[in-house]
Amino acid sequence: MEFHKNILNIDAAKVTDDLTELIRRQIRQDLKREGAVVGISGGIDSTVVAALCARALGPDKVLGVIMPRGGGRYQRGY
Amino acid sequence: MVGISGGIDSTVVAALCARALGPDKVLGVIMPETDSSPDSQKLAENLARHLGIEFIVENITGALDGFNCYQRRNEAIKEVFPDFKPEYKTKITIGSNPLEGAALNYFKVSMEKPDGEMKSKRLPLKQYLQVVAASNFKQRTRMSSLYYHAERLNRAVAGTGNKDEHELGFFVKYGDGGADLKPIAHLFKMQVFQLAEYLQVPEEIRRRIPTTDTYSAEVTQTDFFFGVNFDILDPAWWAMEHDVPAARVAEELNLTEDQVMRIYRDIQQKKRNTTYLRLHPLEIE
Repeated sequence: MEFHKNILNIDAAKVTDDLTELIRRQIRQDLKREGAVVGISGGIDSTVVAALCARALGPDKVLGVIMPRGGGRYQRGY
Repeated sequence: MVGISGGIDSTVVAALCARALGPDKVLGVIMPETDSSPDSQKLAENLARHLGIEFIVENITGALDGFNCYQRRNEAIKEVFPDFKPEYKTKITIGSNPLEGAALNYFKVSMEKPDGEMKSKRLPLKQYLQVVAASNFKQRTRMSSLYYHAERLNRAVAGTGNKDEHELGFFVKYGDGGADLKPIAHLFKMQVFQLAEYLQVPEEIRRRIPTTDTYSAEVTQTDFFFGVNFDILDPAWWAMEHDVPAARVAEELNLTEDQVMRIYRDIQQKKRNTTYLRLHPLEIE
């Protein structure tokens, strides 16, 4: 295949469909779990994963966990 | 790098590592928290001295407090026992025994008041899941501490799970299940005891009855998870794997054929229900 600068372009609609189907199957059948928990940082990767999970399972089956630095409790243990 | 608890499994793994690499290349990390038995730390320290390995004591209570581990666990227990106080000792046991009835697994929570009064109740699924999920912070925090020392020293983390724990799912995913090698994951507990004897690990560790050391009131592994003692479970499991007729197993182990079949079903059910614990993260091919 010939190389060109747009070689990584994908059919985003098709990839989204494939991934949501796969997420559904992996979570329900392979893992036998009821939903997903995603750590969301405000970055692009966790955002995409959370969005795919919400499409695949329904938003009510996805819990986003935001774990900021500071502000929360912090204790040091020895 | 081995987390040592004063139990037989971590003792055997630490002893094997010391033989394999030399005692100076093994670090024992002792990670007690407020619910740990005081004996455990003492036994683990004695073991490290016996093997001639360096050890570090990392009390993880502060880290667990930071995760709200105890608070979240107590919240779930309070829903079952409204008069529960944080200073009461608690434990979880399985409510069924494959030797007595069908393998219908449910769970009981017991609370021990300071005056010795013991109360037990059936634990509803939601509260059970929360108690276990909160308690699992303990094993996952230990994993983090182990990797801190492993990465600092360019070493590997040796996991201490045996076959009973590994295959029946009696471990915490990315907790005690998080390790770089698992040298005894193929060995039955009964075989681990034999290694312990051969390796001449301290008698005081070999004599101990295996406990979870996770709940403040001491609970044996038989009562918490396995339901049957290892001297019955392990040979019965071997027989199941090798298609030995149930009648022969029953005769040899002094059980009824019915009891043997119930043990088989319990093993299969536990294996099936815990498959996801052994799966690596699923990726797209």
